[in-house]
Amino acid sequence: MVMRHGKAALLLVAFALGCGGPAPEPREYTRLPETTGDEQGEAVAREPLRDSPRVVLQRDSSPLVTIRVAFDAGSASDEAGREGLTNLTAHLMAEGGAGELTYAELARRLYPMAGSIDVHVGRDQTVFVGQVHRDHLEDFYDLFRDVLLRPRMGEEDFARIRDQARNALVVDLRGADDEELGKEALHALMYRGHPYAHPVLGTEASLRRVRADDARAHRNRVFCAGRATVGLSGDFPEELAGRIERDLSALRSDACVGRAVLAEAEQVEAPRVLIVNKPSAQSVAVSMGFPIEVRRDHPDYPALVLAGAWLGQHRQFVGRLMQEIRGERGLNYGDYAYVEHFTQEGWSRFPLVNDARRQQYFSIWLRPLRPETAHFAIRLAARELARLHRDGLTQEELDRIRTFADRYFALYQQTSSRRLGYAMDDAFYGAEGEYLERLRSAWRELSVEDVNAAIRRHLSPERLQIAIVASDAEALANALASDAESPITYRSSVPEAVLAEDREIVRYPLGIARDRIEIVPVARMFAE
Amino acid sequence: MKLATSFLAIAIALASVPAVALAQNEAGVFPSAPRVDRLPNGLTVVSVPMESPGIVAYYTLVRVGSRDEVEPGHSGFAHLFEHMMFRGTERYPQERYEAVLQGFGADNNAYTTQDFTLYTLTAPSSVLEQVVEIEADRFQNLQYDEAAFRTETGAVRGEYDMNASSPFLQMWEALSEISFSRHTYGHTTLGYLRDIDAMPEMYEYSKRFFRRFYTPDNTTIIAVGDVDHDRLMTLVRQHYGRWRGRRDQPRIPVEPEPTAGASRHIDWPAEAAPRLFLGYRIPAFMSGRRERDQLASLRDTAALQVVHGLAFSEPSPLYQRLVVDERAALELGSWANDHSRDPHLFVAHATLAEGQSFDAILGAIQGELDRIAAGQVEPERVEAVKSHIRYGMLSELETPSAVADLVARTIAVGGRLDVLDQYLAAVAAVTPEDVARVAREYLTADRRFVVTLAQGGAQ
Repeated sequence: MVMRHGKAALLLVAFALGCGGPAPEPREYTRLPETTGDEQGEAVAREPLRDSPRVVLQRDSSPLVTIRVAFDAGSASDEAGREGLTNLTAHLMAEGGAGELTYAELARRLYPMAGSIDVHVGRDQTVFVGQVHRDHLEDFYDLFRDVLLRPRMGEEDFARIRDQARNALVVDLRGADDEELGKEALHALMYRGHPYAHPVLGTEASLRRVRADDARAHRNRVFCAGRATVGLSGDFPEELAGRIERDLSALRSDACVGRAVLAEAEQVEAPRVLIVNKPSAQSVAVSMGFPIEVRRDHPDYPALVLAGAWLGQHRQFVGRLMQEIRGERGLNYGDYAYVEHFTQEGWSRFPLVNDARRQQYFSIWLRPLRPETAHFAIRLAARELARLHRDGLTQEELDRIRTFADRYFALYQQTSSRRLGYAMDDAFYGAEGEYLERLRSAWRELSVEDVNAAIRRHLSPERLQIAIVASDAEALANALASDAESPITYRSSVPEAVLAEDREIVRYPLGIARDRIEIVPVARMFAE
Repeated sequence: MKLATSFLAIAIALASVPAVALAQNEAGVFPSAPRVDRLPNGLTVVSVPMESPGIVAYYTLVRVGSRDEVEPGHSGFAHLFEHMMFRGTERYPQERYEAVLQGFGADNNAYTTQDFTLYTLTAPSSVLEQVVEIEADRFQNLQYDEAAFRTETGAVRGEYDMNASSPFLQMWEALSEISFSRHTYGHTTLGYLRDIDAMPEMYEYSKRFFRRFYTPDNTTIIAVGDVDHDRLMTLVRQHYGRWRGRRDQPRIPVEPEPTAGASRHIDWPAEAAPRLFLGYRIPAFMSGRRERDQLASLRDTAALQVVHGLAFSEPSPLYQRLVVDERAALELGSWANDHSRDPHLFVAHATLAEGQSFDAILGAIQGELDRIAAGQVEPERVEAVKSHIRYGMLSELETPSAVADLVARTIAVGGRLDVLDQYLAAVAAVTPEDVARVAREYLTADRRFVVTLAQGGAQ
């Protein structure tokens, strides 16, 4: 790994600070329907709202106090035709000024204390995260509270934030980040007709359509007390918990509605492929997977976590895919597998917290491949999944990965803020007991038969859907559909055992019909 | 400054040459006072105990980076070598090494910069003894054959590919090239693609590279978290005590002071917002041999750090004007905390909104720096930036890994850990006059290098 400060700063379109326009009058808005895949305006079934915010406390000696306020609303709550609205609304709240302060003034207040108010929007959750050293907690809390309760949400700030979102979608995602584009393409493929299909950022067309009024109305509908979970961690004064609960209880609106019930994602019976045709791409990005019914509250979750770690623990060499594709053959930089949605937190190797979803998916991520090895590596990964599904783990493999996971997963919770995030995620899923303890206790009880039965139930390779970003989509599509051999050559001498395996991999049948391969020009991805 | 007496007692008991007790910090920004020792073979050892749930970060810093790649055609080699360090030894061949680390549930990785390579291992403290043993073996007895070497060069090529879809890599390559005509900062840590493609043929060179730079006097062990210093030293002495070797000292070419800036434009083949990347030549993090000169150079570094906040942070007038009020830029920022062993760059960047010209944004940035150079900065803003730096640092040091990383970066660019206290004292002492002085001296158009990127021709 090469590290250079500033890469992230340069590439991330930080939805950064700015000053607001005039504060709008507080208004109530008529209810608007959430997107459900149904026609706009059609009545949809909704989940009930809670009576008051859920509260989760993680009090300890950390001088860094974190306040997390997670709402059960993400891009799946975007109104049909206004995709990206939840994201714009959340960023407008966090970066558009609050109360008496313009955003410039808010930024100036936060700066000397190095306090931060960040927002992350996922498919089903939006979380506002405030962090500050306890020396400044009192002053900081007033600012954080106003962002949630009294955001200004002015027209000028809205226009700026919308420009930034458009740039993040069109320029950064489509033009400069093939790995992320591949992952979003997989969502578009797996979740056709489903509220998870579109990126959190929205689409080009929807971003042209949305107005600041939409964002203000949307806030009243989804960022309200009945959808909120409040978390506090660090060395905070005891009375703060009651105060924040009381303050957030004021987030009420007649417009507030429960989440629309989520339709099941489509399950395919045979593999299908989406290739994003990007003529300038130098290498080939690959993400593959399928929706699964297992979430953290499912009895098979602990078994699948072990299976996922064995196949491809994120950024570690423990995984089979990493060993086979990079370690033995040197074909790329990294190859991983996930049994739930995964976003890496910053430079760490650990998952972002408070990005929970009502529906989950299994996925494999092959980091960019040379065009001449892409077909081979896709075959290798699909074959490994099929072998795992067919043969399962051996007792020795299970013991090894269980020992690894039992210790490694403790690293996920090194800070009090992250422990808080996990506890809040447990509340989201309705899972009983603390995350790590729950896993460890289940792992102790699992037999190899249990784990392999769970793998067979949930990781069927026939359901594989593959998203690819490549420069010559037509040639790749034809090669995939033909199932012709995909020979591989190396610049080093490779052990005979590997070469013997290669002879099987080069003709491993993927069984993808040409009419199940769709090619989309990159400029059309997320255009509508 | 106090002596590590307990360590000395153990050292004598083992009849080895007594180690030198180096500077011992008070806690400062750290969760507890770091302890620093050095073995007779030159290996430096730092420990920082902190509350952590049975976790220790065991980091190994090697002061070798792309700065040391002086031979033509070998750019990217320090980074390649970081990869090779995971290829095992006779005692722990790669598979066994990985199996043992996996048994620990360790988070095991590494990264390379211009100035250093850092091996980052975080594991349960209950296995510290085994960690010391296996890491000591890897750094002294690395062994790999040509086939493994060639295979690993493929992973490095993969890492290049991974980065190549972003304009950043080409922009950074270009900025480095136009800013340095002699010094090795003129190429990136990842290296040129042509050199990466030639790596598979350099097996013999790679073995020499290991002998030249992976030596005890060029290495620092950093253990943070649930760790006892005395026990650590016993283990380190036992497992690293016989390590021998002296670091090669390649002649790093000295870059002359710039007399005129330079610029370059890149046509980008995909959809791209126009991007601007600029660097002003500034001094090293710390320079000079005498303490007085070193402190003076740290004052300059601290004052430049404050300029980052004054000119490019979100509350700054320039940011508010360009990004918020005029919406001429989609983003604006700079690389604060980016310190180097040798004279390097003060880097700023912007992404332009549609219809904006590079000249206008560049002019606005230079105008703001000129304003700072003219002393037009309110003292309370300087104080706000200083407070931000201090609290920002305190907030970052939450985990053993974060603390270990700060220790490593400090030693890598400053040569010793107590320079951090001196640097933070220098930050606390920065005055509006200091800020104006460094802006006048370093952030001028004749020391400025500019790279622009846009889809199609230059704007």
